[in-house]
Amino acid sequence: MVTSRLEDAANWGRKFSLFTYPFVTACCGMEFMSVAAAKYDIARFGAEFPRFSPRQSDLLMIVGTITERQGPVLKRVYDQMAEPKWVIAFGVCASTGGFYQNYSSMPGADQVIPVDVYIPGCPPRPEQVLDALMLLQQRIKERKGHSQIREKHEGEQRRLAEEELT
Amino acid sequence: MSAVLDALQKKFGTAILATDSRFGDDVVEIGPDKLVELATWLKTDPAMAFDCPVFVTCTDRLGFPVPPDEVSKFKFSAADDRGPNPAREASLGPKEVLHDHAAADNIRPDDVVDEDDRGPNPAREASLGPKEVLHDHAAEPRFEVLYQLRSIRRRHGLRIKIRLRSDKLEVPSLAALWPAFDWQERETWDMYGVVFKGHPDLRRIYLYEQFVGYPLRKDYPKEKRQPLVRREWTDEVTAFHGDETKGGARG
Repeated sequence: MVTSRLEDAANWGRKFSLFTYPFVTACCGMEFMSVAAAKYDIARFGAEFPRFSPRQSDLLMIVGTITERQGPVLKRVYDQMAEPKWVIAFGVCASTGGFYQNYSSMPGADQVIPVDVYIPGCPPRPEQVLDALMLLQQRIKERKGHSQIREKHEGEQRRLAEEELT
Repeated sequence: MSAVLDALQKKFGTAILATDSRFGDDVVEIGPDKLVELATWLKTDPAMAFDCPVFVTCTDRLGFPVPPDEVSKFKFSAADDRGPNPAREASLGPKEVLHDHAAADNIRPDDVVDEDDRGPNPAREASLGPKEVLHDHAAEPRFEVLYQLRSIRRRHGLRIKIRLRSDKLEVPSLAALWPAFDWQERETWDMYGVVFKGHPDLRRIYLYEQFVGYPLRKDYPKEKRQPLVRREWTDEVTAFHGDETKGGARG
């Protein structure tokens, strides 16, 4: 009981202090700048500060088209981020590949890493991004982020293994 | 005809296989063996002074409709009204090598007009209008390597065109002459598989080394992907997606 309340308190803190790593590859980056700058000001919603090191961030925003050649890079950036972490696919290209159907474009970043929230749009309106952020905050609170689920799952596996041993 | 094409014609004579200057573009077609000599002259001759290399690229004419007024150029037969051109014939090599592409792409070699058994019928031809003729790959070079050049000093431009068969897709490199062509030739190699002989570093430039094939060729499957990395579908992933399907963020 006590641990679960601690976890809730931690998640309350996490959802209002998301440190974003913008993995910007394409034109959606303009819209990311718009949402991060003064007019739409994503900081008001608790994602204060873009960090340009994956090791210092817990929200990966995939902003733009991912090519097959970038796949290993994206995976490495994701792997370097500290747990718990969340991923937003910003725009149709990051979500599904968008209108690119060819030899070079990856059909959605979730081919390589898990994605928590998908934002449609080409590019999405800033309001959609803020909406997605709030949706993600809801999921963080409910412990439904992919890394939270993974952690829970791994904890259960460990517990089962321990039970088997004893 | 422009001054540049005139000068080229005078200097190289029969090595010039064809020229064209429609739509404000001067085009000269030569064989691959003459490329270095011609390009060196274009760069060093003070009247030419091509100091600005614009691009190198390639076109794949697989299944390409041939404009009616160019049909004769592609036929290499007595119907060619310019008369036989031995230099050109020689540069193209033997004719009878066949590709499967024609069958695969529904190209009907019969569509390339040949001597009609009934003899010419101008009235009938006129009533039919221009006939769309598809490139016949059985006998012709499929690829064209193109070099676009410009002279800032002389304010003129020129495109060099080299037709190549797909079994001999090789031209000499011009990277030593114009260093800006270094990456351009690598791109053309990457996308079409044209070998630039003598290039200092002919590697793929956009794609990865593991990539198989040349994606801008017309016979590369349009949506064929060659992924470098994909996510593993483990229990934890299933747990995440199982949760998601019960009304998660995707909707």
